[in-house]
Amino acid sequence: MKNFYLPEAAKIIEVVREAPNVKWFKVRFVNKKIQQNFHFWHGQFAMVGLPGYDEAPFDICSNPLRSTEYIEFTIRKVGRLTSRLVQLQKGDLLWIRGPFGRGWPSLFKLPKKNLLVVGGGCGFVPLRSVIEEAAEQLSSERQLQVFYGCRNTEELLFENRYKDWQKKGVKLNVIFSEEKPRNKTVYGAPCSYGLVTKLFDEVEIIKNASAFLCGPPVMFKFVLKKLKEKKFADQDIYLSLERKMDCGIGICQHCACGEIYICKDGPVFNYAEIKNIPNIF
Amino acid sequence: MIQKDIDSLLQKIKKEYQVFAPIRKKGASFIEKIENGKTVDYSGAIPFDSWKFLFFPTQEILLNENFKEPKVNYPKICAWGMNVLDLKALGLLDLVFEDDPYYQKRRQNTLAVGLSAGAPSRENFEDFKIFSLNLEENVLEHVPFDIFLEKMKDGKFLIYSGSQKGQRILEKNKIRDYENIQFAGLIQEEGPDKRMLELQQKMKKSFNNKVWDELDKICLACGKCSIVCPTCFCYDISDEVLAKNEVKRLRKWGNCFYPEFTEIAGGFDFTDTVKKKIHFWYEHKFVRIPKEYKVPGCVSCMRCFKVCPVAINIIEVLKKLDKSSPARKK
Repeated sequence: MKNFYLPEAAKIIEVVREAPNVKWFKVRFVNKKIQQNFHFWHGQFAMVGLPGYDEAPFDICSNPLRSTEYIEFTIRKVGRLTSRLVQLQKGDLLWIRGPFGRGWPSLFKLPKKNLLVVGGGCGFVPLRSVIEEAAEQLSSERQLQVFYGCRNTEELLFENRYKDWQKKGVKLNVIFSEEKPRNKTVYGAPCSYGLVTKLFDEVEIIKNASAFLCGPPVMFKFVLKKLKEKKFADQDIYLSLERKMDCGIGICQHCACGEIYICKDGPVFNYAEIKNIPNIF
Repeated sequence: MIQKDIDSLLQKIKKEYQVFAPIRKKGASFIEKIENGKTVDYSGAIPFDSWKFLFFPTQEILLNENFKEPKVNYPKICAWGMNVLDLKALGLLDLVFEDDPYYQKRRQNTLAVGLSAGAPSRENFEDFKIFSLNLEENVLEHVPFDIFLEKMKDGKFLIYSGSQKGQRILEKNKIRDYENIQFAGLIQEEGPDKRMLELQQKMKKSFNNKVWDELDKICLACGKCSIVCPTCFCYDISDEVLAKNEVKRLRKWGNCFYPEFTEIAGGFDFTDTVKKKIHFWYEHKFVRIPKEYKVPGCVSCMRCFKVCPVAINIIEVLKKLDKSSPARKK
């Protein structure tokens, strides 16, 4: 019987300070066979922990096409575990269980060919894996537009990736909520000032697109309103939700809501599936 | 079989197993490890606590100091005198933890001995007719047990075996006069309980029902109902740092009424009001468990009502849900 509670040690092979309290980690399982057989789907999460500090769910933010080589996490310091995690250096170990959950749908199975990705704050993290993977598969037939709302330049995530994404054809727009940008672009991406919803009025939205969202609950509310104005159907909208999780396999009840478990049935949901569940976000 | 034979069987089982059984004291029945078979309460009254702590301990080690699964010699435990409702709850735990190596290893070393005294707590049957609370004739086919003792009105016992393990023990003790029952799963032949399915639909649409606002005013969110409930199984996983910086990862009983149960990093709590908490508890029992396991998440033992400091009666709550359900208004 497989023991779902057994974590595997992974070594940090690279660390980048993304923002004042945010670190990006590239890790590799110590056991080579585990790494070679590791597969995840974009939008899935893993339980990451440290002995003595418990564990918590974190979205895997790397390109799934590289899953057998390495995986990446982006972690913001908010509690006891993450305060310790962000102190870790290259060569340190962390402990991983997973991957768990249902991620973003396959881009090739969506009825709409294009994709609009909307992320706010830390909610940009779970969207990175889908951006990385989709960016490698773009064509004139399949386009990707990314709206990223962030507080200020200091808090900006993954800025070292923008140029590469744009080179691959990603249409990226950044908007700052707490800082008026001095230039028209930031790390090569067009930028402006306001809330992420403002981009829906400033920028032409790609046609025939599905929308993938992740951000704070208040962002969902307003972005959903904008998407409805732009005539997106409920079935074409997907959201990644956040909850407290202890088991990751739909038993412990911490992430339950209505008849679903965010860990097992999600964390990514089609909006039509969940819109009638009270307190879903 | 007469009482003396049952006592003698218990004494023999005690040689191999730690036996836990209902003991009568202070006007109620409590599950305790027994030293003398004669103190067992055979009245069929529902014990104050549920039996779940024998199968799903209040805390257990998931990972040892090397962050590996610990090697544990799981004790041989006999739960002696479980009534049908508690066996139903055990059946649910067996399903929930079907793929859980800790539960399964412990479970292999347990012996579940059922007991009915005409009916488990007849007053419950007659007062609260709900779910599978009919005295189904084939109920024993739908609950897990190793041995079942049916106490007749004349004080004599009928004996059933429900597993090979139970059968072996009966044979070993020269008990030949028993009937074999084949466990056919928790669900009756005619399919999932219709009342359960109806209730599931009502419950799903109930968040705006005023029942929850009423409960919000009286429920203290003390969590006692969860502790005594035989089907409440939620848990927390956390690390404990021992001497010499040795760390163990533990699984402990959780309680959805307690703070932080649904709180995420940064402090946002999805069940930040009593109304949301109690609704969450009912939702688990009457929406999620029926959806996943096709059986009710409540066995109607009424332990929650008996321990509730403000006397919230689960059956009455469900009846109110029925009456004030917006869908039923004409």
